[in-house]
Amino acid sequence: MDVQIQGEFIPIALVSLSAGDRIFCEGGLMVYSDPSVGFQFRWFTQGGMGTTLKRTILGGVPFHLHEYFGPGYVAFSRYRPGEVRKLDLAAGETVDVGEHSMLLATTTVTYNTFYVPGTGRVGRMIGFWMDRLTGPGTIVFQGHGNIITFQLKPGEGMDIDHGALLFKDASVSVRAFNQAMGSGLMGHALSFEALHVEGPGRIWLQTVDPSRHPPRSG
Amino acid sequence: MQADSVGGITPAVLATLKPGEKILAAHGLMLFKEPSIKVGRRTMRQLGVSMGTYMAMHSRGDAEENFFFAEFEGPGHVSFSRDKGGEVRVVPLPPGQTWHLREGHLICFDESIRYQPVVVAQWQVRDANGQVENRYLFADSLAGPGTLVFQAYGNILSFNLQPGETIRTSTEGFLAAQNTVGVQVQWQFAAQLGTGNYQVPVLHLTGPGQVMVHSGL
Repeated sequence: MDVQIQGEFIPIALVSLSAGDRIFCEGGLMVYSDPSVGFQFRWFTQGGMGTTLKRTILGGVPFHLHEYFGPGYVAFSRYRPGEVRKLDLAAGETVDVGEHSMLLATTTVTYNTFYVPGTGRVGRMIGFWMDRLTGPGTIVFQGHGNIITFQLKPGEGMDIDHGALLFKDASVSVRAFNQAMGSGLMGHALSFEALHVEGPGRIWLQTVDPSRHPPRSG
Repeated sequence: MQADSVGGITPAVLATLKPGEKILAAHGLMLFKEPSIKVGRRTMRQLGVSMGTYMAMHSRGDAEENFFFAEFEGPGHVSFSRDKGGEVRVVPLPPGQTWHLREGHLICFDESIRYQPVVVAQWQVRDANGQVENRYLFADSLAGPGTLVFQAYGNILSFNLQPGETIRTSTEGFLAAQNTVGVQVQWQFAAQLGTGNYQVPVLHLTGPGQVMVHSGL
């Protein structure tokens, strides 16, 4: 399989599939394809009925995925401005990608979900889902806007806006916390929720908060 | 503050703060920060904006000024994003130099900069029922010394006007101007509609001073 990223502002990922190559993605992302490319649904029912309903209803994770198989070419886009990155995962390597950011992955990649709980405070974030992907295989995903990359050392931390988190290694821990705006009662009243991430591992941030520009998905 | 623009599609601002150095930013723009950065708040009152001025701005409607700014204290890095595309400018203001920046474009500024919300221009329009409505061009007045960071819609076009030199912009195209630049609203003929003329408001900016216009809306 070969992946080419074309374009700058709203790029596409153009995938050339050999006979026997299979990839999957969320629905509604295909831009154009070779008529020879095959297509079928792939039901995402991992974890049983209860987990599937929780993931679908609360998390907004799609109930079904789309699977394409070669030979031929097929192009995907999220129809929004932002950098696209391709990543090859080694066997057993696990990464977490922001919800509705993955463009495609080879079917050798195990697709799971990862829940980041919120602080539980009234009126605050109840948590959010990320896609947990385990190699071997290739994944392609798109950020909102530009992507800024960091390599955290063991124990090294960073505070980030929860809309900024695009990608992290599974070894990077993430925890929601309440960021006070100064001291006193007013400082807590004006506080906002953020994420504290801690290494070791890679963390990639996006410069646009997706909640302000809802992504297109199937 | 050392500030850099990062990225080309939707740029972010990376500010580097020395120990004890403080900057103020519009609330809700933080992208990430190092844990060593302390977060506080600075109310309009603490910035010297009287309650009367603040209420007068809001009574005119559509003013976006928050009641407070977020305050970030070094040492460390903090990054901000306005979640949109457009050129970011880092402008060092010498002592006494004052800029009027269209509201909704400010990202962050040194605490040494004096802040004041102002109305740069106002005009009246008639709605479909013939009712007269007031329209205002709100701006953030920022007086040096210090570093100012803001983002435009699209690209920024800069002009340095000589004394008496005038440039005409649309009301939406205005991004920023020095306070030495005179701003006047004039009505420009656009079309003949029946027995009347359809006119649109435009801004006449008269030097001396620098003016910035942006290409997006």
